Amino acid sequence: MAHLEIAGLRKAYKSSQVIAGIDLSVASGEFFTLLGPSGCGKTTTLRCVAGFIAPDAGDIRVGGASVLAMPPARRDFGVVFQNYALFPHLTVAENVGYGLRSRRVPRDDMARRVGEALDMVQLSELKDRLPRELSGGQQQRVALARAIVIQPRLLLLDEPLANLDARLRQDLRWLIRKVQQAQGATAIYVTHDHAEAMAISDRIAVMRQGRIAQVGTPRDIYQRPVDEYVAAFTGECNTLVVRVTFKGDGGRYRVAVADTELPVGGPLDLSVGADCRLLVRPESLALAEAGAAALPVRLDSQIYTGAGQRCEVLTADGQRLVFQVPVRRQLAPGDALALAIDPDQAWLMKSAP
Amino acid sequence: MTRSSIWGTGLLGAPVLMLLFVFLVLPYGDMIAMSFRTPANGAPYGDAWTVANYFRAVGDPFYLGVLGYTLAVGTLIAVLTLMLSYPIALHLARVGDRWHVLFYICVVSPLLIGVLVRNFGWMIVLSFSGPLNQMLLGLGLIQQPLRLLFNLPVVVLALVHVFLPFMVLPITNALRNIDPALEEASNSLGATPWETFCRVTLPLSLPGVLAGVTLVFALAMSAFVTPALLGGQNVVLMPTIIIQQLIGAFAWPFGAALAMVLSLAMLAEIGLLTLTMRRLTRRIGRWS
Repeated sequence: MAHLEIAGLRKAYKSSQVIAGIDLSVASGEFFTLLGPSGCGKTTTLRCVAGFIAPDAGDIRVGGASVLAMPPARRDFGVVFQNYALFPHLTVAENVGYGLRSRRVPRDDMARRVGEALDMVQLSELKDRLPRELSGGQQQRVALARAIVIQPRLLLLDEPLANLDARLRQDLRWLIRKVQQAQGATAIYVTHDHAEAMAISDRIAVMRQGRIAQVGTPRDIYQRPVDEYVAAFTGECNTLVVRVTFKGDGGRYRVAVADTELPVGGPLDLSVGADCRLLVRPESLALAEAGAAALPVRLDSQIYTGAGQRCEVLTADGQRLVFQVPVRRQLAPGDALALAIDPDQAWLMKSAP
Repeated sequence: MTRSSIWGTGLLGAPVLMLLFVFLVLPYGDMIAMSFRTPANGAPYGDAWTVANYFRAVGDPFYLGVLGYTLAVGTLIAVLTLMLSYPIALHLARVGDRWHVLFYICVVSPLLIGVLVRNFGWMIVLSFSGPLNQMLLGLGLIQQPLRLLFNLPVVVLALVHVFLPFMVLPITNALRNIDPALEEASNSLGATPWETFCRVTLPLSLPGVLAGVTLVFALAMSAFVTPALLGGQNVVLMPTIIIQQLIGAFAWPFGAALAMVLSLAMLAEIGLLTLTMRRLTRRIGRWS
């Protein structure tokens, strides 16, 4: 059963529609991510769920009951903010115990639960410090402990890692995932970082201009995006303009690129003759072995990146593709090459209307 | 910091340092020296040194009484101003940009009027045949005009009115510096708005409160014109006594000693306040 349901959610500020109709359902214990560029409405959606903003229309239900009429204090959600929002005049332990004190939890019970939460984020030694005496990563761990110690019905995380450096982001990402699973909490996570979203989520909703472009598992949205927007926002991608020449069973197609025909996968509803976009991730391209079905291209430029060389090639009809080639292969601009496209990794998308 | 930049900043501060030296340090030094001199006829003070002025200033029950009364009135004014200012500051810290300026003008308006004009204004409004009495008579609320002037409440009212901006502005500033996410965090953790105010907003605004209270207390303790004009003979505060000694009795050394005692008492109370507030900021909002 869906734990959180969002139905027909809308919010406008003056003339701009920030959320233009969102429907979502999140299962109990699921880690669900709202992914999108800044201004796509992901944070506004989260703030509506938290109760900091009242939506113009729509409903938000948790466990089947609408929470719209409840003030944030009664919703029982744990919120982790981008800028941590720790109380600067309270120690780490007092920050973590804040929600328990509001709930009138008895003192020794509170001390025990605060201790457990701090253990979980590995900060027990620092419980008497003030927030300003901690690093950014430590502060965000305190904020996480403060949000989970109340055993919230929902854990809401608003770009919690955005202010941290890359290494810390990695570590904290795993910690958040671990804590969420240990607690069995249902989490809604907002980010603009696709790698973060992929690594941490059970499911992702990619948002665009106040709407949801696609909802799916990380594998779905990466390998089978519905359009170029989703494809581009979930990682590096090449798109080729192609025409469908043959339709097989179960979403198998043949497409024409320049003068070459390739076998590819795609959604079930495309027909022969349609103009489509073909998504080819850089990692599903390789230089062809002799004799395999291949796309003839010409090397335009190559850059040495350490792990490989990043090559830009042009097809016969002038379309550009980027991919990696092992360093041992000697290449020079202008070389004629044959590209093998992994048909299981190439995905057809409808052209933008 | 490099040597040349230290000199550069020093040079920038030079005019204000000169000003402070000439108009604060020198007069204060002179006054301290004067307070240890013997009185003299035909001169501000005699050649000999003495501590008798201080013995008289803190030994005489009359002067001690006035000092205590002045401290009490100063404290009362500071507390009343704080109670009136905090809600105003809370409001001011939350209003949007468009109304912002208008509210600020309202708050600082008492300072836009000169001290004499302001006090004569009060005297006209509150006088025996003034508009307030006329209005009350006209409404039939009173049969006889009231004696509204020359008492402590009027002095306190007038001083609270003019000191309001000195309290409102620092508190507003402190409130504006509180991250709005803190109140959201508090709400989401189950705290009611009142709890959030007591455990987050109030403790975090205490530095502003301390600044405001210190300013208003110091200003109230040293106010002279308003008590003299609106309090008359009935409100005798330390500054009035000091001026009497200096200008009325020409007892400059004794007047200087009284002024020093007033300054020290003021410093002591402000120091005490700062210490208690510092402990309070850390403590409020804690689990007791």
